[in-house]
Amino acid sequence: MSTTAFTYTISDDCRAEDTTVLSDEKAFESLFKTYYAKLSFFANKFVNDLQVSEEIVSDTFTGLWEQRKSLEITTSMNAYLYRMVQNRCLNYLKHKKVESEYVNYLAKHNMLTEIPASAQNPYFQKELEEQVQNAIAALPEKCREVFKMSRFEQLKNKEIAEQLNVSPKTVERHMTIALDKLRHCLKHLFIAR
Amino acid sequence: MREDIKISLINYITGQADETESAEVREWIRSKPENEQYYFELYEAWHGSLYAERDIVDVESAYALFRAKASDRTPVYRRLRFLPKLAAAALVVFACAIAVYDFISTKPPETLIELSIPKGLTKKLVLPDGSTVWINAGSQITYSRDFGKTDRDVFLVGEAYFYIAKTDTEIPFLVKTDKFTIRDVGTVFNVKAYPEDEVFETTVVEGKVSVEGKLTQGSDLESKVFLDANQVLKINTDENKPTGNKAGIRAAEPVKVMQISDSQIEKYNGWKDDFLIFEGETFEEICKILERRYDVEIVFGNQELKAYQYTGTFKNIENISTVFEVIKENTPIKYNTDGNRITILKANRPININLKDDDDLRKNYY
Repeated sequence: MSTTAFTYTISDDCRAEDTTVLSDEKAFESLFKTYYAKLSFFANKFVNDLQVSEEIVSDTFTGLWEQRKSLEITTSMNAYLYRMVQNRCLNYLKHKKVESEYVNYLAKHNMLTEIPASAQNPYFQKELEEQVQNAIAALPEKCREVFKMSRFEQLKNKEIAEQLNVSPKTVERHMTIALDKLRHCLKHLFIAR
Repeated sequence: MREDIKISLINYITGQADETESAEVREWIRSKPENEQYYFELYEAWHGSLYAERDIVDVESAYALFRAKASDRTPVYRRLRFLPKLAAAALVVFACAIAVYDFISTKPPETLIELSIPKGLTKKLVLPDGSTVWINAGSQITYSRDFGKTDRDVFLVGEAYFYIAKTDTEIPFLVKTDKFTIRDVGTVFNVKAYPEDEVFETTVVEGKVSVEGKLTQGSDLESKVFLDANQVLKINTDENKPTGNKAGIRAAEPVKVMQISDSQIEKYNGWKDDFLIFEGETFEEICKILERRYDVEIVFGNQELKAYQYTGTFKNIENISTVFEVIKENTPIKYNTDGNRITILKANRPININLKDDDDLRKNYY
């Protein structure tokens, strides 16, 4: 998949719609529900803690809701949300005095000012979801089991080892194989960010 | 590439590397652009994989929480319209709100941020000063929009675990409950102050706190008690029963400080990691905790049952019936479930406590 195929710009038409979103509670609810998970995953890359990410996204929406009457959004709502969440994440890292290698990498490659491709284009996101699911399904069985426990149940290696009755070393090995394979299968998607 | 650095990279990404390993990883990433590229791809793969299970983020309950938090003082009946599921919780909040207003009445209410956690949920919150608060089910936290500028006061109804950020500020961190104020001196601590409970409880995990208020029952004198790490303060707040709980099993002094060991800490703060730990608590006390944790109503079909004591540890048990199945194994009870209402009855079999020892339970439910 080429990056340019998915370059997608949001027209100014969004603005009229954006204002409606902010004045109507039902519309705001759907805005929240459309973006919440996506923005949480986006924030998670910065802070590497899903709970904190959700907190940041939720606070962003709270801010948006509270300022809805005075807010002037000069870009699209989409761009605005991602920008706000990113700023909050960077502030959080600064406050916590955490240096993120991920942020360093983005800064080095001038990617901090872009909105991720997956955020701009719904097709890219669908593509991403499918490819990730396929890549996980293609993992060797034990590897997949360990990886899923680590990623989706958020268990530590030690806890996985206890549950599966194997040594922590074995869990580490499975995790290494799993993530390296996923990296290999998915890396063409991430260059586009 | 060295296999051991791959393992370290993954430990680092998944938050399982210690200081030494983290420093090693950071050094490795910095040393070569190829290394940085490899790390970036690995990190993206770890994060991208979440897209395979988007349900890991619970949008519905996030929205419910958002509404509760962003509520710009809309009357409760309006909130109910949007959140039929939270109706019951909102009513509890409404009842508590009167109490909250009482002791924050000196400040204009619109400058406050209120976060109510319905029963059945817990929530982690990062305050503007970087301090982290885990809020237990059926609890409410209120703080000023200017938190950190002029004060660091948190009003608590219910239970929360505080991890206070180390900052340069001179402003004290205060947790205010309806009866007592906990003053932090660089700490990690748990506060349990549910209005329906007869006991106020504070557990210090790290550092030191002081608890201030009318500590002596029947006296209007303000006093103060200091607590160090591994100490628990219990204050009996039920004015009608100054000498023990209803069952009268353990004679509770009005104010008691206990020294606990590191391994006992989890009994007090385990809830934030989805642990439920009981060590000889009575059924009456346990059921109060279960009611909040699982958003159910528990009724005793037999008053005698309230005094039964139980010891056991549960982790990550999603379903309350699983908890009762385990309890049933070594206590003579049976139970009926009717929607959200659970009735506990005496079982017609001999009391056979300690049929299974605690270790067996741990093995089964960890």
